[in-house]
Amino acid sequence: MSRIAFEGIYKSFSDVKALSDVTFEVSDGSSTGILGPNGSGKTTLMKILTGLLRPDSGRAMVNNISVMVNPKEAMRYVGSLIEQPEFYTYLSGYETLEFACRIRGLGKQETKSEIARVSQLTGCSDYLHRRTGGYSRGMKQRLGLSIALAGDPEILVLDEPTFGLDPKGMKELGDLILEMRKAKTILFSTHLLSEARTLCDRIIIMESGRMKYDSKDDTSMKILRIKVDGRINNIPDLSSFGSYSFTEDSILLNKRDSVNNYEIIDLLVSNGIRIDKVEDFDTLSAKYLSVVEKGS
Amino acid sequence: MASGSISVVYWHYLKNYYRSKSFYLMLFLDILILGLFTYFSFKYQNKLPAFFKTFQGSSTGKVVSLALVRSAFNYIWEFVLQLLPVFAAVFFGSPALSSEIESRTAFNVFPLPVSRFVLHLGKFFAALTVTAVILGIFALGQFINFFLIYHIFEVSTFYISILLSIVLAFSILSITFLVSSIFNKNLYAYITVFLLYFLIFNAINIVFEFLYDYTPVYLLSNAASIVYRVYINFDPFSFTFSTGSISPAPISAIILDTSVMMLYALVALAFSLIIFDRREVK
Repeated sequence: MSRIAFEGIYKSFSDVKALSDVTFEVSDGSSTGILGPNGSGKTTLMKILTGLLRPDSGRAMVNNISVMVNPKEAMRYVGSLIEQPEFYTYLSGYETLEFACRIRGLGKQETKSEIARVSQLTGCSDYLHRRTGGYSRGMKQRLGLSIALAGDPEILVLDEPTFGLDPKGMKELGDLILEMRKAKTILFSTHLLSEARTLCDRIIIMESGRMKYDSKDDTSMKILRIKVDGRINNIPDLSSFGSYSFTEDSILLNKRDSVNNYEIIDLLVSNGIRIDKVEDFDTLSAKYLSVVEKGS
Repeated sequence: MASGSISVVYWHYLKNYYRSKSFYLMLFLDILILGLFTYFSFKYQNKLPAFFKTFQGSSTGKVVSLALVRSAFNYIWEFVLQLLPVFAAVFFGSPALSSEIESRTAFNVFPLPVSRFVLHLGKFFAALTVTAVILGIFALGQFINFFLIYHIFEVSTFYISILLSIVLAFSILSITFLVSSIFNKNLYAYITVFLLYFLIFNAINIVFEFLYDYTPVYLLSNAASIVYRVYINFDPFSFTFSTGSISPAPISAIILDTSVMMLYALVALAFSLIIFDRREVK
């Protein structure tokens, strides 16, 4: 079932074409990454999906509800973090989250427990009672993510969510997204290839407002190299994921298209193998490199 | 559900308003003016009869009634009260919608499952509340001063005047929200409302009064004078002196000016709602 759908989206700002004929669907329970350099149209697409912008033509749908026709109804299913969030400076993080929860129809008691839940998840509970005017960029990013998660929406739209976070924060947020993608549909934008690889099971590359690559249509075999921490003593059977070979400290897997990296990693970790590094080698790397090089 | 959402939005924005520097600055100015007028009232009240003898001209020698002196007291206070809504509304209303874009708060508020209509109205009524608080403090000061000086409560006209100042605040606030819904920068919104009210309306007034000997009653700045004309029907900004009188403004004038203010309020509010609803956040 399609949770998000873009149908022939065009958008221009004055003479600049921001989006041209963008069409794709995001299916239920998937994590789709929009990858592209600055100015490629990632944020514009996210803004159209969340009703911040209107397309010149085309439709953006959430659960088959048109965002342009019925934005309020469509946004019931969507939690979003767009660009670098800012908040009303005289209100605390708690009050900001409380507002989002109440708007999503939660009662006072439910709101309290929901704020506790999401602030725990995003790691912002320590400073939640301070006014947002004094927050750092990273604190704001975590609060923004808490707002996106408030009310437990089915779909998450995250525009460069790790922006402004320190490496520890990026790691924590990445882990959180990996955890959430088991239960939610995620549309995620980034300009970091490594981030997209780790967090998404489908990647779309955009350049100058156009879709240049969709990993869904990429039938080529993907090669996964997993470097492990220490020596490999007892490797589980990975043949269900594709053909594989291994050396003392790394596993090389000719991965089948339908296989998600985290399934392999989960199996290895559950067999006591500590993973040091996961590297994908496929047409994606080559494609993104060409897009970025063209842009620069 | 919509009324529930409006209530949530209203309280959210009200909290942000009454904690803001704008509110405390306006409150400070309010109390400063209140102090100055208290000083003025106690010092000047004995001189009011002499002032009226000068003002009445041909009536010199007649006894100036205490009722007229009391009306003059309130007239002077209300003269300031009709300016307070303008400044308070511009302070609270001008950045109301433009700041959502300029401060980028729109990015996390607009994608919430709440209509822009509800966001706009909730914020509007929050701004109206803080404006009314500023007016209320001044009006309370006027009420207490009047009682301390004249030892009576003057109620009916006082209430009407306060009510009219709230209507004026409603009207000005609607215009500031309309202007704010157009601009991306708060400063442009502030400047435009001030220019519109103090320069453009007055320029139109001067043109009509001098060239056509006609007071354009449909100008908001003219209708606003009803706030003090309910005591003495005289507008010091009017160049058509023949219309002045020391009597209170008649009911017909109150109805006409209230209608003008409401018309401005409703038209401006409707347009700002439409513009805000269609507003893109680039």
